[in-house]
Formats: sequence, structure tokens, C-alpha cells
Amino acid sequence: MKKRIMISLTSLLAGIFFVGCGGGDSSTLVDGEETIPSTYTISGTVPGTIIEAYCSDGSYYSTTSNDNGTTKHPFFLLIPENRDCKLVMITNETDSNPANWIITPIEFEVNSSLGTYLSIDKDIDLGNVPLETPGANSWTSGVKTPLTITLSDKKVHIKSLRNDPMDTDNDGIPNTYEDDDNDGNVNKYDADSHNDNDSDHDGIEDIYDTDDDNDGVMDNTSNTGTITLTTNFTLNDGRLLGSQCAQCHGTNGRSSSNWDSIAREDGLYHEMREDGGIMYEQALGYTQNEVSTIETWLNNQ
Amino acid sequence: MKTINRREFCKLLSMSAVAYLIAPISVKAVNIPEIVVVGGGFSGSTCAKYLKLWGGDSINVTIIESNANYISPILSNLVLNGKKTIADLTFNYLAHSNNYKINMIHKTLQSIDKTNRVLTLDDSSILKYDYLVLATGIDFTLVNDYDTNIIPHAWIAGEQTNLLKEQIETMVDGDDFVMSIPKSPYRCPPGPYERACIVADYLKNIKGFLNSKVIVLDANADIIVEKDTFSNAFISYGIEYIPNVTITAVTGDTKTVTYNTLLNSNNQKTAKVLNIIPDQKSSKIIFDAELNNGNWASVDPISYESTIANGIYLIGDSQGTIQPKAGHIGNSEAKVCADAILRTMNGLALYTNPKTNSACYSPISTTQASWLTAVYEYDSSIKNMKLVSSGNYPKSGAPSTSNYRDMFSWSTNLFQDTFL
Repeated sequence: MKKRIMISLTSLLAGIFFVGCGGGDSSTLVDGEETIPSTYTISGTVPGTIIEAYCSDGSYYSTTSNDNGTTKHPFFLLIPENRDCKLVMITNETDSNPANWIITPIEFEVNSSLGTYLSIDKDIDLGNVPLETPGANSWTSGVKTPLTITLSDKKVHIKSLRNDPMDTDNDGIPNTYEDDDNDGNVNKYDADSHNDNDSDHDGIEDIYDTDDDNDGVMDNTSNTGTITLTTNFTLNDGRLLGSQCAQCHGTNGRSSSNWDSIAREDGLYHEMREDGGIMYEQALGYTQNEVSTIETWLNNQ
Repeated sequence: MKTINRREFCKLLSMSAVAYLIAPISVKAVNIPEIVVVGGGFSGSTCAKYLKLWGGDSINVTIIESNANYISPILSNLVLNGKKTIADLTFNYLAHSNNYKINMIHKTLQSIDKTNRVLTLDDSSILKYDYLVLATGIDFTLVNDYDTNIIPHAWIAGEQTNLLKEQIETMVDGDDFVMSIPKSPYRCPPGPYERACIVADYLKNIKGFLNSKVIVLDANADIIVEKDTFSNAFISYGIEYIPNVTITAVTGDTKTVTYNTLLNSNNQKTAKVLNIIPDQKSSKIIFDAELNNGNWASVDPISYESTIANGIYLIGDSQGTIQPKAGHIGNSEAKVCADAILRTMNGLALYTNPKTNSACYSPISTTQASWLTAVYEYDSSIKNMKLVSSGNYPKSGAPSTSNYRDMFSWSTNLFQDTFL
């Protein structure tokens, strides 16, 4: 049975425990095209802890809580927006041997649904997370079954994957904290556990891992975060028909070659027939209605 | 918003805990639909990209592809004359992973459990799917057991292409190049004719060989596409063209091919370089999963869903509609398939008249290329595609230097639309 706690999230509560959480920087343009995503803060209180985030692009974020002399140490973890991340919290982390740590994967419950990934587009507060810790009534070291944190904020985005690259056996424990060779050391801290293609054992192959050694420094950010994916499918016949132009004119009508970009093209029906050669022959395959549907879609690109 | 003080909050917390102990709320994981795409060629890569482009975070897409890189067969005949290298035609899946949040798994699919919708990979790991897209390409039918590392087909780009290039480089003036063209349908209809031209041009005009011959053994009754372009080119290059060929044996040691024609049996050609492009069929997994009807996968191209198993879609070279087997139209089919899966998942009716198009530029020398194109539409009465009648397809364009330049404008955007 998984442990379960109920935490109410209100702006008032955030105010009780913390002063100002930072984050929420607006997007910045670099070289005119690449957008650096905004970052937001996950906060809460814990009994003295490392808080880690393992995200689906392989990136890694961590922080330690601040000892304020109580049993509830506040923490603030900065995460880029809209990045799917798993949280893991570690107590007894001052012990030099990771085998003695208490490692607790976190799951989230929103609207009576469970998610192993959280993505945020604003600061969120997890409240107090009752982790096992030395000095408490009962504790054992090792990797715990996931602890479920219930969030009352219905707008928090959570999800679970049945084909979860970061939790291949779907037991709620991230791959990096499994013990694949059963030698008592979790993969992350196991010197003899090796997988040549996945240095940090997080399930994301090094070539796709934006931080393949989990040092918190992105290996290569040049290709990350440039496209914001939609949250839902919307029907669009013009998009389906118009996508057939992309083989020659580029995705969404934006060409990468000498050939025309056709995004926001006007007078498409005549344009297609004016050019001779292969374009003219292609034009003969589409009705005026179809071209007009495509044009309407292209005008929104 | 109702505000509560700290004491009330603690009370609320303990009440919740009690409430939980008495009546646990039933919670279910927020599982989003799992779509697995097998094969990262033109069709599979495009399908995965467009699924995420249009379906975004509402779905999870995983590509299973054995190789970390894809090497395009399109333009690969230009490796033979030194105009391109394999590196120029090599693509990776970083954009799929980084931009579209597609899970990349570089393993090989072993088996499909259609009933339980579970895939087993070569390392025994399993993947579940709600929708499965198979874009697994072609397999070859060899006439007998010979070593394709001695007699390359070079019809899957990469090592095979380099091997054929190396063999061509060993030729001296007077050595012959003999190649075969498979029975239609096969991958890239103009490709073998294009290759004959590229090699003949290379030997004659770049190497300066006046006594070497290019001989083409075609399993088909005639040149099957762009007949004017290729028959003129064959005449100008002095290519010997033999139609209606049935190959009966290939001998690697001596580089000999034995074949029948309509008139004569047991003809033989022995050549310095022998390039047999074998007959083709769907990849093995299609047969293992019993998704084939004859040599190809049976699909309804309104969506590319299998006519044999629900939830399985087949696109690209392994599908058995009348559409040609090639990268450009594989990309085209992939978008129709992606849209159909997303509509189905969202309980929406399929688009009733999907169209696809085929386009191909064929280099025939180091400066000239021709083109071939067609538009297809869905015909619900036969549940197959057909050529759009208004276009009088297929249409072709004669070789020219401007077409040679256009070839790269075309391929650049096709590669971008598929891999970036």
C-alpha cells in the first residue's frame, strides 16, 4: 500500500511558510529564434532533504532544503516550464554511504488521478512532505515505495506513461534508483552497473539526454525547448491537405531551401498554376475548394 | 477564495487523513494514449513527428528503430559518382527527441501480440501500445543463397552503397558493370534506371573508359517509368538494355548471373561489378504478424489501418496499395495516417477524401536530372488510392540542369519535413 497524504494548496498557505518564491521569468529571445523557457519554483517543506527532479529530456535539477531549526525545512526547486519531471526526495542524505539514504519517489494525485510526472507553468507549493527521516518514529534506509502527494490545485499538469522510458518496469521507482544487478547498490551509485548508452541510468540514452551525467549542467541546449507542443488535437482539414505541400515547401509551409515558403501565401490557386513544371502538374491534382481550404490554414501559419 | 488559518489547515489535514482511512478514494493513473511507431525511415519518422505536431502532449509517441542514424536512399546514387558521401545523407533523431518529445528506442522489434497489444523487443523488454504504426520497409527475395557483401544490392543506403562504390573504383577500362532491375513493385521505381545512367556517365565521362559497358537486366517487360527520359539516356550512354529477364542464379565467386529471357534460357553474364537488386516484399515482421496479403501489407488507405488487425497501421514501402514505394510518398502517407489515428482517438470521423502525392527527381549525370510526379486520391468504392484523373498522371519532366538544381531544393525540404 502506498502512503498517501493530503495537502491543500492555497496562496495563503504559501504565504504562511515562505516569503516570495521567485521564478516566473519571462521568455528571453536569443539569436532571434531560440526561446529560453521560463522557470518556476516547486516549493514545500521537508525534514532535511535533497530534492531531485528527473525530467523526460534527461535534464536534472536538484536542491537541498534550508535548515531553519524546525522539522519543516523549506525548499525551493527551480524547473523550466512545461517540462515533464519526476521528483525524488532523499533524507539521511548526510550519511556518506548512499546505501543508508532514505530515497522516496514522489507521485502526484490531482482530481483523483495519479501522475508520475509533473509539469508546471507557474510556481507551485507541495506543502509539508512527511518523509521518513532518522529520529522519526520509524524509518528504514533504501528506496521507498512512491509517496503520493495530493494537490488540490486542479490546474497542475500531471501524467503517467505506460511505456515510461524513465521507469521501464512501471513500479513508480525511476530507473536510476533501481538496482538492476541486485548487488544492494542503486544504479545511480553503483560503480559496476554500466550501460554504455545511458551513463546516468535514467532511461534516456546519452544521445537524447540533455544532461547525460546528471551534473545539473545542460550538455547541449541548442535544440531544446524551441517548439511548444499543443495540449490537444484539433480537427483541421486544411492542415491535413496542406501538410502534403510540406515535402517540397517545408513543414507548415516554411521552406529550408531555395523553393518558396508558402506560409501565409495569398492567391494560392493561381500561384500553383503560374509556375510551370512539377508545381503545375501537382496543381492539377487539387480542386479549387481544396486549395482554398489549404490557403485558409496556411494563412494562420 | 475562502481563507483558512493554520489551525484550521491542520484540522483539515487530519480530517483528510481520517477520511482516507475510512473510505479510500479510488485513484487511477493519468495514462495517455501510447502510440508506438516501428521504423525510423521517411514514413515512420514523418508519422511520429506529425503525431506530436498535431496531437502534442495528449499522446505519448515512441519510435523503435534499430539504428541511431538513418541513411537516405534518396540521392544515394550520387555517392556512386562521388557527388555525395554517405555522411551527407545521414540523419539523426535528435529533433524527434528534443523538439517533439518522442521516445527513441534503438532496439529491434521481435514480435507483436495483437490481442493484448504488446510488443516484445530483441532484449526481451516489452512495450504496450494503443495504436501501432509499422513503417518497417522492405525485405529482399534472393534467387539463391549468395553473399550480398560480394554482390551488393545497394538498395538500402549505407554500407551497401559504399561497397558498390568501392567495387566500381576497382574497374579498369574494358571492365563491365552488370545490374538487374527487380520485378515491379519495388522501392523507388525510377531508381535502378537512374543508377544505370549515373554509373554509365561516371565510367564514360569522368573515368574516361571507352571500352567498358553497362548492361541492364530488367525483370519488367519495358522501362516502367519515365520511358522517354531513360530510353534516350540509355542510347546516348550506349547502355545495353535487356527486358523480360528472369534471374535463375547468382554466383558470388565468379560474379556471374544466369538468366532467362523470353527467347533464350540459361544466358550468363560475368562482370567485374555485379549489382543485383533483388525482388522485394514487406519486411519479415509483417509476415510474422500475419498482416500481409501476398507480398505486401493489406491496408485501407483512408487511415492505413490494417484490414486484418485493429489498431495496427502500416505505411511506407511495406503497404500494398497501388501507390509507389518511395520516401516522398511514404512521408505523404504518414501524415494521412497520423491525422486518422488522432481523429479516431478523439472519436472524430475520418477525412473522407485524403490525397497523397509522389515526386521524385532522378539525376542521370553530374549535371542533369529529370522528375516524375503524381497525385493520388482515396476511392471509397475500392478502399484503395487511385490517380487523380484531372492530372493525367504520372507526369514527368525531361532532364535539365535546372531540374538538377531543383532536385536539391526538393530533397532539402523533404529531409527537413521528415527529420527536423
